Amino acid sequence: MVNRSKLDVVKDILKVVQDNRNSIKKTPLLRKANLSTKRFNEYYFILLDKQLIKELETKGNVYVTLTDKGFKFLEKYSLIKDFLEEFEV
Amino acid sequence: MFSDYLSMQVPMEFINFYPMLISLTYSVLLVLLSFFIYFKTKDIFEISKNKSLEYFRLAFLFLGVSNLIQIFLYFLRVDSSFRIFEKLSFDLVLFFNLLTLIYLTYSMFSHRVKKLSENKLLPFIFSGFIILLKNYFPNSRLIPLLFGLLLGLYFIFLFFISIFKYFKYSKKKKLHSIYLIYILLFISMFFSNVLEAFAIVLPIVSSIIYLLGVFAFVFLSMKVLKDLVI
Repeated sequence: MVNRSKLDVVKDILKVVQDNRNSIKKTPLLRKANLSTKRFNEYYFILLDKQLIKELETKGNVYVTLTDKGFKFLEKYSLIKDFLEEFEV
Repeated sequence: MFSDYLSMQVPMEFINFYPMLISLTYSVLLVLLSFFIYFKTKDIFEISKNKSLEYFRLAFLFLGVSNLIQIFLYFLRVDSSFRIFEKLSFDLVLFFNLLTLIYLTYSMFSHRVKKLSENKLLPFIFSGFIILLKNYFPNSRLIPLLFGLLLGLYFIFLFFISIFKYFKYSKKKKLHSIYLIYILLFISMFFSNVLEAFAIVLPIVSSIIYLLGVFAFVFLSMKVLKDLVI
C-alpha cells in the first residue's frame, strides 16, 4: 500500500465523516480511516485542536461532525496539495 | 507634519524625505505581508508537517523581522542621538536577510537538503559567520565587494532555478506556479540588495524595484490566501 502523506490522511478522515452525512461515532470512524488506533488518535486530536471536527453528544452517544473549517479544508484540499507539490518539483 | 519633525532633527541636506517615505511604506507593507503569510499558513503546516512549507514560513518570518528592524532603523536615522544602535541594526537586518535567503533556498530544495536542514542551528551559524567576517575587516573594500558579488550571483542562480522549476511545473499542471512569484521576488531582492547604490542614484530605478517587490508580495499573499487559508 502506498504511504499516505499526513495531508492525505487528514483528508481521508474528514471525507469519511462527510460521506456519513456528517455524523459518525468514533469507533466506526477509526475502522474506516484505515489507521492504527495510536495513529488515528494522534490525527483525531490534531483535527479537534485545529477545529476541523467537533464532538456532539446526543442521547449519551458521542458523534463526530465536520466544522465549517473542516468543510473548507475538503473544498481546498486539491489547492493545498498542489501548492505543497510545487515545492517538490 | 512628519517632514517638519524631520527637519528639526537633522540638517536639510541629509533629508531625502520622499524616497525615505516610499522605502518606509515598502518596509511596513513587507512586514504586514510577511507576517500574514507566516501566521495564515500555521494551520496547514501543523496539519501537514510539510518540510518545504516549514522553511517557506520561516523565510517569511525572518523577512518580516528584518523589515521590522529596518523600520526601526529609519527612526534611528531621524534622531542622531541613537546613531550608536545603527551599526547593530544594520548587522541584524543583514543577519535576518541571510536567514530569509537560506530558508527560501531550503524551501525550494527541501528534498535535496534533508540532511543539511536537519541541523537547525546551521543557518544561524552561517549567517553569524558572514556578519563576523564582514565586521572583522571594517576598512576592507574587497570584502563587501566580494560579498555583494557572491550575493548577486546567488540571486541569479535562484532566479534561473525558479524559471527552470516554473517551466517544469507548467508542463505538469496549468496553474499559476509559485515559482513565477519567486522569479519576481528574486528580481526585486537582487536589485534591492545588490544594486542598492545604483537605485540611490536613479530614484526611478528604486521605484520600479519597490513596485516589483510589492507586486510579488501581493501575488504571493493572494495565492496563500486562496490556497492555504482555511
